[in-house]
Amino acid sequence: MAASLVLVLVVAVTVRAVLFRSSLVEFISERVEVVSPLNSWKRVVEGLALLDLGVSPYSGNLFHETPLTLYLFHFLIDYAEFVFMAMDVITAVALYIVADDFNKVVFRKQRIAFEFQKYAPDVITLVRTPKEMYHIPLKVALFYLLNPFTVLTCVAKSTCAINNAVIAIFILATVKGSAFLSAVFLALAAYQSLYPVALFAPALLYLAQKHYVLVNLHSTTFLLHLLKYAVMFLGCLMVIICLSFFLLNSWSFIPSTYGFILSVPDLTPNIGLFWYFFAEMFEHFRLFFVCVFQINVFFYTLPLSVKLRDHPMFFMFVQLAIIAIFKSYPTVGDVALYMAFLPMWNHLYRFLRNIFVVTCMLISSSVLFPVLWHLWIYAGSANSNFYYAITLAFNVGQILLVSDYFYAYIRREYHLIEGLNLKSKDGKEAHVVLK
Amino acid sequence: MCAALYCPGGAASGLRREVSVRGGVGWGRSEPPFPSSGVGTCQYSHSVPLPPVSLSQVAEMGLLSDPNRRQVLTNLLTRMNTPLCFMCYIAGVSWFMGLAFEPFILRMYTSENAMGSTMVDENFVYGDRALSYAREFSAHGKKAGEMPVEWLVKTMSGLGLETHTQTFSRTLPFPDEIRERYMVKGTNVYGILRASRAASTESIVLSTPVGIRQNSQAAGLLLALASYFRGQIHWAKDIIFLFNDHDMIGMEAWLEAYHDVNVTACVLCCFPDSGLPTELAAHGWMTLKLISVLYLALLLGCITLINFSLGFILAVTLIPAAALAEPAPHRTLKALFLILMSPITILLMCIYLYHELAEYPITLLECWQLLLQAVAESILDHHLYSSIVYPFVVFFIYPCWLLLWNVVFWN
Repeated sequence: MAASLVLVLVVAVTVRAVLFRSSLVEFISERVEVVSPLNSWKRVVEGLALLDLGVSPYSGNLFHETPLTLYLFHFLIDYAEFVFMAMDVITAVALYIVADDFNKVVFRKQRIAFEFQKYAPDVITLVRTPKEMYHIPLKVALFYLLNPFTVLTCVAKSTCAINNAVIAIFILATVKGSAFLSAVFLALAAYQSLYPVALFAPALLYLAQKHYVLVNLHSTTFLLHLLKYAVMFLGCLMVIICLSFFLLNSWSFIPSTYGFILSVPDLTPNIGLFWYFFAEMFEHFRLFFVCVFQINVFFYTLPLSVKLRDHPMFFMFVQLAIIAIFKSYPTVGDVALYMAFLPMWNHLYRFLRNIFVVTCMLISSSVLFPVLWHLWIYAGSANSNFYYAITLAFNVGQILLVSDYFYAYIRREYHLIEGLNLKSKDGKEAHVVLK
Repeated sequence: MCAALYCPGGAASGLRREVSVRGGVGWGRSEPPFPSSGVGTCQYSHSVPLPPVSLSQVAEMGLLSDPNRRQVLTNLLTRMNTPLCFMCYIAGVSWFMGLAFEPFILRMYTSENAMGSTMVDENFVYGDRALSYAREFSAHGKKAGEMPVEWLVKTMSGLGLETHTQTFSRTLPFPDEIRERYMVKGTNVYGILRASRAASTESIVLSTPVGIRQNSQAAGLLLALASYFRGQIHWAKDIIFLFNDHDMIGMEAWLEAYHDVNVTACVLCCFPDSGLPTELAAHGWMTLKLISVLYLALLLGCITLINFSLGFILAVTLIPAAALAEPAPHRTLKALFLILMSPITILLMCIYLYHELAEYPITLLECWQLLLQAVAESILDHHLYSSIVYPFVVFFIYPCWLLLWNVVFWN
């Protein structure tokens, strides 16, 4: 398996290296679907230039990266391409190990469930076998590395690749059971782009499960666990923010990064839902709608943590997807991260109902993005409504994908307990329907 | 969300017995459901009841999730497939033909909402001057061979414009029928009318091509416009009157020099088509046909948005061929039809039809030569100005056609 992984890594690095040397680099670097004002490479270069001149990079309202990223590239600017390729490799390897470890956890849980006879007698086709699960880690790494979205993000040198790498290492630390490392990398990820704060809940639930702590709000062990993790996370976050203060001797990075993410002043079109809305809105209602949209990202955490408290890895996947869909400046790199998890849920294929429609919607909207952009900006025969229509179609496709997998997951759990051949009261065959 | 058990057969009384189960995975079971007159619920003890869904959500979820309704819809679509296909095709073609009818087209259309038609004063009355310039232009043009550079420079300087010339040369990858040489040399002539009080950072370019087509009337009109504009004083931007040699090649050379870039090095890099999927179901040709039809739909949708005529021609010809592609009966007929509908045959037939309709019929040999010339011109256009027609047809449409060919010859 390691050999196949190395082969996949070599192929991925070759593809990226070839594209880095081609003439497509400038074209891809300025695509609004791939870079956003938060993670564009041009702005990083601009910030570095301002830093070299001794001016604060945040004074021009152009640079929105955190000071740590600024200093990282200050030292590594000559090797930028290697850095981004290395980030992709790190993410892929981390996700590989995560999938491998998670498979073992799944087996253990299944064995325990069998021993306690929790499953219905006729669910033999639903049970997961080692043969079926052997190739999942490789598929996860493959899905991430050879996803066109990831390749585009790497070639455009968007710092979304670094965000993905930090999140992947955070998931790895969580899966390995180390609460401290998990808190450190979660703090780094949240420091970098704020929205991974929502991943606190799935990580907490996973660690609780790993350390055999029963998830119950009235049990002191769990509350202690929660407090420990929260204190570690907040402490690391404070340390990193104070470090950033000492790097540049001012707090001006906070309004430029977090203020920018939360108040959405820049309305450049992207694949998200914010830009068109706020471009059409009256100033009077702007604050209200900014609050509504931002709450929408974090709103699903609580209901999902109640519903999926025994399935924290799936919760992590759904939460990543929700962040990628509803964040203020999404790019295709965020989409690529949660799509890498899809091979882990291959066994749900028989319960998926809309997968054909979703695939067609996602592929056609991805292809139509540059076409409608060309028609709007260059040919002048379309306008922003056309582009937003494609954006809406893309996001609706993503939401359908996530909800389809959610339905399939819940349904499989139901069938495991109740059995596959459901009979109603009068002995006739029954269907399971989402209501 | 709750999962409900439906009994499709229904109870004897016709009531639908609905047992809704809330929650997902509980570690224990509560008491079995107690049926009341119609609806009963049973709760697992460990889960939290979720808020009720709204009516629109129910409607939406019903359409996508209710298996009975989905089955009915699917059956309807499958039964009416052929009539629907016919109707859509005929509707599309007749809608396009309808574009030629009076109510749908406007012979003259101005879309400038800042310009009210009552506020326009017509002041340009120098049509005769334009015609005389045109006659002089064509006379000098015939004398000088291609482009009357000295005469243009003299005329425009005489009008009071700042006149310049620009020589350029381009190396073509192969000599084509029209130019018959590898290197194309030309001269652009342009005159600048400076705006008196503006910084010359932006300008408006009025241009006419000279050389390939004898376009002397347009050149005459441009000179007459130049002389008229020279008489006005309130210009906000500079105006450049450009006579470009060799049509698009000269235009590109002038723009490159103006913007100080080099676009001929940047050739559109086209990704070749991805390979066929290796795992196919038992009815392999059906999967292949599904993929190729979806791919064709996506391609046609995208190209129609950018270049409508190309999309329409491809759609009208390839869609019947794709719909009929099957390995089953009359394989040779279908293969022949597919060959007839391939892009190159369509191009040949279009050339023939065009010449027939222009009442200038040509022989088959001439038609073939024109076909080769058209293909060579499109390759040249791609090389010179990154036009996407040729790479699009070769790299995207032909693989689709090949997929359909594979479907027809499936064994």
